[in-house]
Amino acid sequence: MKRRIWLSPRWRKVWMDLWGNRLRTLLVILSISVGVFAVGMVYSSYLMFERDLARSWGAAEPASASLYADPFDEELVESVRSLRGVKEAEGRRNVSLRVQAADGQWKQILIVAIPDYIKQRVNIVRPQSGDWPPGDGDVLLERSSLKDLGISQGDRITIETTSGRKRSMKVAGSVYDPTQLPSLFSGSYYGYISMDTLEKLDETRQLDQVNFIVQPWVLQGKATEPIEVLGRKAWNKLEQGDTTVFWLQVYKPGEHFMQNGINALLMLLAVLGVLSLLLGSLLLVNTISSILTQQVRQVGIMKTIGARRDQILEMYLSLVVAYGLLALIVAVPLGALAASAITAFIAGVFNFDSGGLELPPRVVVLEAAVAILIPLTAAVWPIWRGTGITVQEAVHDFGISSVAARGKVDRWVDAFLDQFKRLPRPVVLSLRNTFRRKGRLLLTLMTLTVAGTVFMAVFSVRSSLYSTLDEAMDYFHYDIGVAFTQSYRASRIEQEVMRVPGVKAVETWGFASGRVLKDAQKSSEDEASKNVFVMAPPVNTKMINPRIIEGRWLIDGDENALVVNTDVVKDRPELKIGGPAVIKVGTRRIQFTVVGIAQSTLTGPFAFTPYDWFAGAIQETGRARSAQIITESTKTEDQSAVGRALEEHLKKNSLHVHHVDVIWETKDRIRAQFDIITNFLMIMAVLLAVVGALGLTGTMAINVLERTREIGVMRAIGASSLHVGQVFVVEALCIGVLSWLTGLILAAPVAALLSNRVGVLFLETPLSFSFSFLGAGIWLVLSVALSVTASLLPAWNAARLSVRDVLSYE
Amino acid sequence: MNIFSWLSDVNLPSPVINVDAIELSAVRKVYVAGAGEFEALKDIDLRVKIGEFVAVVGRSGSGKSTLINMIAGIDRPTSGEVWVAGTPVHTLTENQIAVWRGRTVGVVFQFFQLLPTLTSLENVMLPMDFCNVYNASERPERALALLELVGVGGQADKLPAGLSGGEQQRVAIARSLANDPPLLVADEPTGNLDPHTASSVIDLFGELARRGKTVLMVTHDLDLARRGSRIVTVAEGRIESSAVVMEPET
Repeated sequence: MKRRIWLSPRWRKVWMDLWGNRLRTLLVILSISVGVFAVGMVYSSYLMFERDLARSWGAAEPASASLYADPFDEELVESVRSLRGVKEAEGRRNVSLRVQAADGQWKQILIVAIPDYIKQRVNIVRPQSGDWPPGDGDVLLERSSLKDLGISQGDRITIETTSGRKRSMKVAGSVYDPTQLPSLFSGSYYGYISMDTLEKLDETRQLDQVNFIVQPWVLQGKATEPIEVLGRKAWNKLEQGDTTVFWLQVYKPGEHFMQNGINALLMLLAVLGVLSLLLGSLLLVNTISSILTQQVRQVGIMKTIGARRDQILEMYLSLVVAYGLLALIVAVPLGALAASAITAFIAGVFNFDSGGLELPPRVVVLEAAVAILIPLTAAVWPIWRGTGITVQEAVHDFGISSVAARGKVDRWVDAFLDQFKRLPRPVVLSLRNTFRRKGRLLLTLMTLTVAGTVFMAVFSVRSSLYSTLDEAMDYFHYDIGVAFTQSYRASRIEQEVMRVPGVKAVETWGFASGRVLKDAQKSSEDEASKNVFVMAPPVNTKMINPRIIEGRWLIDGDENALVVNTDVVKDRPELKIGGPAVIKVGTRRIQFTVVGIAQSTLTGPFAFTPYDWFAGAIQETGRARSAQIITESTKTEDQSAVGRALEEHLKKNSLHVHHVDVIWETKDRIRAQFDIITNFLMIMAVLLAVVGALGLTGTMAINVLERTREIGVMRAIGASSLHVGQVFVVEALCIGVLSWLTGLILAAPVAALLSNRVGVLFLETPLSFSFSFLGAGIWLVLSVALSVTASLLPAWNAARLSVRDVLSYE
Repeated sequence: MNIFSWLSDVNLPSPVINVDAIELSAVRKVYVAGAGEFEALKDIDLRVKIGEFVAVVGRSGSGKSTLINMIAGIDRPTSGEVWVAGTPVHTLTENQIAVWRGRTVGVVFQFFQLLPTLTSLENVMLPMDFCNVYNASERPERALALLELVGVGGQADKLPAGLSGGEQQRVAIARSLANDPPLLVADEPTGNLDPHTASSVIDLFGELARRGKTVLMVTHDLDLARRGSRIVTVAEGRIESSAVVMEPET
């Protein structure tokens, strides 16, 4: 009989180790895959995200800066374009109006009029579907607005003009405007019309915004200063043309206008990637070393029959590489799919085009390195040690290792256990077991601790975000804010507002926007700050509750006192308590003395000054530009209804309303922005929990398998299944609780650090830290439940085997 | 190209020819245990000629297993010299011993120690594979011939779990013969077998000795020991007696 053998016996053994024990192979591949998947997902999404952002954002020819002013004629744009250093300039008109959504609710809509849609050169709006450019009397909606408003192309929408008249307009198509703040952040929808249509909305045929791009030679890297200098020249040009400019917005060259939020997400992604790599590696070291422990005897046999150390190394390293390759096949496509889902999510949030699934070679290279190099590194030491033991040690390894008390820790544990004389024997046995295999215990604990630390830290970042939000929102003690386009007599505003049913109280404030100057010199106007909103409430107002972090709030008798919030200080760090502040409002330079610094409310740079004094300073005594209203009802829907009624009533009575803010809606909007980050954090936490769970399950399962013989011995001397189960469950509980404790200790500083980073990136200020006991509780339950299930199943299986089967278990 | 070639420095010293199969002189073995030192072998001298079938007997803990572990290169002497088939085993490195043992000594264990995931045939082929003796294409036939020699040719494609204890031990003996070693070392080879099977395994050893193999077997069964050509009795780490069996049974 002629026999053909395709594989030499030693490679056949490697094959049988892979194929013969499919369950174990599956477990190992699963553990490796989780790590590879997470790393691949993070790296792919990072690259896809970068690619999509560059494509969408770069193609839009984003403005270097934008100026906002009172309406002016189109010719003024030419004066900005002619400035030395300006490459392109274009004017637009923005009108904030009200639109009725499909559900009947009135929402805010920003109507943008562009003089020439065909020859756009800055902040380019591109057609998506339907008509292009918008016809006379038609409106094109931004693509995200179309969906959110519940309106289809071809429908008609009702828009309420500033004077309160309703106009019906046809939605003739949709556009994509990558430079507009997404509705989620602005709370406003976007519509695009021609200049002619402006008049149909009771607006003058004028512009109120200039966007410009600077020449490349003006730029100095990413610095915004050169753009600001040009921006202020443009500001002066416009003011020479007899219009009031109230805001200069400068963008960082080459950066998306929401780069902060994007950076926060990218940082979280990177943290996730590094942590899953760390976790995955620990998991691998754990898994590989337990598999090799099971193979010690076979290594001894092979050495007895003449195998050299290098041959054995080669066999086991090949086995590990095979595990890695199999894991790679599983993880690569899954990672790419998950990455494209994440990119699509971020693209939706920041309104840019997602370029779809892509698998860059560098991602695959990284994944391959993780899938193969890490397991190999993890395996080299145990294999080296395993192949180095003598034949005698290997062959006489009966699967129950010696657990004689050797070190200090062992004696300490024994002494500790002696304190509990009443503990049942099996419990003492399992506690002793837990601490005897210190290497294994350390690895398992480390894996679980890392997972637990991050899980709890992520929960704390989430709760810190919410407590920051709550603190900021506590500022608002009024329900509705109304801003007018010009000042009116305060008594007239109050009278009209009080006529609206549902209004309980009203307070009128002075309001202006301006820039903080370095000093009162004319020359220092070139170094002015960004826009600051000056609020002038009565000093004893109950409408707001600013959190003063330095100095004091306004008091009776204050003249030119000023309280600035932290957003202002960030821009003008030289502002000090007791020091001067010069704010240019319109054409006036007003001198203040800073008396206090208030916590930011996440709604922009605000400065507060006493109403009486400020009204005099800008020669508007007895007049106001905003009204703060408290409603009778505390129900959100009632407040929205009152807001709507107010707007209609005021418009009807010829008070020009700039906007009406229903505060709970504003809070909701800010909360929704926070939710982007917190949802992301939750995904992170869940992923880490899965990795940790797999790690624990694998380790426990293998740990129990390894001790099948021990179970046999226990049964042989009369232990019931309950006893056997008890030994392992107590051990698992011990590991679960210990890892939770160490995780808890580590979680606090990690959470504080992460909260700080997320805060600085996302809000430009550290979050007010709050430790999440909910997260700690969830992890305690999770880690204990996982430990018990993971060890009980294999222990139960082992307990069902006959003593004979167990003792002959390989 | 083997990437671990730096590990495979296994140039064995050329064996001295025309010497005895085994020559132990002044061999001592001391184990250091928690309770202090334990002298397992005390000044052992032993010579075994080619083709002898030596039974090593003694009580549990007498040092008989330690003695044959020294000869098989499984354990190392604390002092003294161990020459097996003309090679000074006590001077070899762990890696050299592995290669030397693979070619020179066939080891048979009490618990058979077959690799559970390989068939009988593959278990027998494994030493040829590791030591790279015989052409790859010849190995299956040679392994089958060995299995037939020990009487389990019909079990070639079965896994160890599917074999009886006696069959497993026969496969293990076939494996120990794979590289045609001049010396066979067996530690309680019949300890796990019924008397009938044990007897036939001893017959097999006798047959191998007659064909020129030197066989060294540890046993505590004196009846079986008497079927060898010589009985070496070990007690408390010393060789108490070494007697030639006058009429070996066949």
